[in-house]
Amino acid sequence: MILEYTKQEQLLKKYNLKTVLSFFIKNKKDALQAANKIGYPVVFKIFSQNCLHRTDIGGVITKIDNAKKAKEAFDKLNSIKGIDGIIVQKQIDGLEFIVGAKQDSVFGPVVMFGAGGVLVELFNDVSFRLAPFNRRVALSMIDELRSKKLLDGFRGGPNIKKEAVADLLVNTSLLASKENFKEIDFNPVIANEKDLFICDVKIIQ
Amino acid sequence: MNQIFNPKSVAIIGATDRKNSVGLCLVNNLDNKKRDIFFVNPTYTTLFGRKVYAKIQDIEESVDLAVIAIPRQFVEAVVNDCIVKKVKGVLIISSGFSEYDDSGRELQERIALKLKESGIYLIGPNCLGIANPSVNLNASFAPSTPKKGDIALISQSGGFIDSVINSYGFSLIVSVGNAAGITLEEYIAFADQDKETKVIALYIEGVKDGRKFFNVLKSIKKPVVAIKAGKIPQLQKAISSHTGSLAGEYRVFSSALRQARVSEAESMEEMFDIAKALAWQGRCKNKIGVVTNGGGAGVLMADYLYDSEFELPKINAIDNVRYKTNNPLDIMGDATTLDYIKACESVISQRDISALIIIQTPQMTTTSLDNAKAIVEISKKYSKSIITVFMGNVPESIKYLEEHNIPNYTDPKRVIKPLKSLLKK
Repeated sequence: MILEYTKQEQLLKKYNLKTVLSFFIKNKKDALQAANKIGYPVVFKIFSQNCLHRTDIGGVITKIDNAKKAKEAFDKLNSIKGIDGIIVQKQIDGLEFIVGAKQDSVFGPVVMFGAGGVLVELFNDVSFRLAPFNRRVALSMIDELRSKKLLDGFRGGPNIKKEAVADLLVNTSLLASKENFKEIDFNPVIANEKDLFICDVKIIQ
Repeated sequence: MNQIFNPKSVAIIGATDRKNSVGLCLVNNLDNKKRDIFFVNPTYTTLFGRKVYAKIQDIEESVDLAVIAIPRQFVEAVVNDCIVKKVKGVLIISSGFSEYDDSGRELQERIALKLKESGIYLIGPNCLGIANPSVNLNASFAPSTPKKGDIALISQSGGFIDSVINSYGFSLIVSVGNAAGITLEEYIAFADQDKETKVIALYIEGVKDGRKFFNVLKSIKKPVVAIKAGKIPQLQKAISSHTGSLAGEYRVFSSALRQARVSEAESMEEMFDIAKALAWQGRCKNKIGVVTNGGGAGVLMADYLYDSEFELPKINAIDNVRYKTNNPLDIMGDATTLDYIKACESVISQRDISALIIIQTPQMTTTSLDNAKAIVEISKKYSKSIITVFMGNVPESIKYLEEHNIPNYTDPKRVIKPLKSLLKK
């Protein structure tokens, strides 16, 4: 089961893992207020401790750029059964990464890294390291990817600061080596020239 | 563990003259006059004109190592005898233990505990044995005795050892078997301390405690090359997240090796290709020079190096030569040994070259053995890494090079993985 939303937040904070500006809300008024506070465009997505794949059930609505669309989006998501609440978050663009962790039956906590959204799964282009590890090891994880050129402004894409990505990996490895969990998914992590943000969190216990 | 790997005296329990038996093979492999060997077998009184003891306690002299090759139902009683005799170590060749069934597992655990409590080392059970060529010990039933060398081979398969034992020189060979006593990690740490060993080669199917394995690999000083067998993912349990589905067991294993700076080989040939480079040559930077007398081989080499992101710095002008200075440096088909010397010395002394690959295709005027001797002389003068690609039917030259610690590969492609493993990380 996925950890409660607030507990996930606390854990991320403890390990300096920065998420995109988000609010966890339960009613329409709060949803609109959150969207206003963040500034359009925003993303709405359901949160349920039991739901691992929310896109499969239409639980994510992106590119909401006005209050009318926000209301519609809220109504649509709110009608899905069994949800704990709705996450309103800033819509950001950039290069997508996946960062994850699991308990390997032989080696214990292991951190995974991949770049490039759905392509990660298509090409199985990921690297692993046993947690915890330092920045040098984290940089070697990036270097190991076949898609590593994506980080260097490939075809007009953003130039990503590798040190920032490495720090995220190091912090994830600390969390993975010190906390109880079964699997962790930060997918996507979105990076632009200036910064990078975890946009979706699943910590499964 | 030194006393086990260099015992003053060995008792063979299960010694026999029966043809095609493990016991006879052990006798042949062990009985080389380098140490006291005692035969133990209650069904004989003499073997090869020598006394056979019914029990190990009957031997008056002290026994360092007891090698046990008898059916499993008799092993426990014999182990009890070994404890009474106060041997230093017990090597159990016999199978039928944890690899076989539950009662075998219980028996193995009981034996291991007894020996541990008595402070006696246990190798195996269910193994081929061990060898330490530098002290002429071959306590195994391998088909032959290995040559002395600098590779410590630690293997979870006895058959793997059999298949390479003639092909290379070894400093140590260990068939770990079920590793009920001395563990895989302890053998690795022992090999790291062994004076003759320059590189550790591992054949691994699986490890019991991944972290322990990882930590020992990270902590040792000597280079390690490993081959992992059993890559097909086992039936995966219900997987809930992306990370779970992308992290096959082998992927994690391979990553752990990389993280511990172990070179992973994909084939047996590659394993020993890497091992000899690591054993014989120092670490280098990614600045590679290539000297060749064959255009085609040189271009192929350059292609492979380029594909693997190796850097080939510019070659400085060399005076009074008829060839163009490129990297690869093609010194032409009719290159003499003097041409080789001039080109190799010039390239290797360049500050921005850290490793030199020397290719030789056997052509009409090629003086292969002289070239090999010249290269060995150059290798003594410079502390940079040298790898050769002597191609074609020149066994004498290759032997000369390798006897002088220059690793040779007969195909330019085979240079790549060894050279990668030489790169400073």
